[in-house]
Amino acid sequence: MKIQVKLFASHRELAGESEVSIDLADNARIADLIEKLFNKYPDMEKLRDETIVSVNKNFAENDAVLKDGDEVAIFPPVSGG
Amino acid sequence: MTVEITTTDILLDRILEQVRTENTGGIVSFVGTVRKRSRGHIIKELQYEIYEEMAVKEMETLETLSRNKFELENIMIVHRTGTFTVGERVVAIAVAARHRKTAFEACEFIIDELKRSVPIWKKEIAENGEFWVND
Repeated sequence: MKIQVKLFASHRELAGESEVSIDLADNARIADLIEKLFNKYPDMEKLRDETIVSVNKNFAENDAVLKDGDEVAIFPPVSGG
Repeated sequence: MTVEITTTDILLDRILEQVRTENTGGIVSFVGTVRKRSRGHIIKELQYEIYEEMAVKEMETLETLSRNKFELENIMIVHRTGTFTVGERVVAIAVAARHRKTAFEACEFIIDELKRSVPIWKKEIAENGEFWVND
């Protein structure tokens, strides 16, 4: 399945794009997506400990299972306000 | 709308009037502004980036959470997106309640939670470089 991943803040800057498409096996987990993303953008490895994920606009854990059509976003810890 | 992401300036009088109900005895507001010094840097600009659809959803969830936790007449949460210079207003929260103690407590709760849970990021454009704020 192809998952569209929105990137924000430092993750967006390191990738040079605000949205990327990642190919994954069915029932892949977020952890698998993160590995593929870091393979595609090796500079992002340094953000590994500051990487937070949302799926369909809800914060999600690395072991969550993805399905086709999910909206995923990847970003650093929030700093609004 | 009681939660808003906007590019336009924060007009506090408008917010106070919008949030007031006939049972309101006190309105407490918080306004976040850009300050000159941050984390050892002299700030030229703050750039805000927002995942808008999720931010609105989280702000609405925060409003519901606040209404469940405190007895409130009304809440308004406004966050701007864009680039701002020292002194500009970036976020405003207004809470209307029958009594002031509740309004004070709820207002503090809301800004604390917003800073923890809403997908918004700020980048300091300082005299000595550009830094995403991650703490």
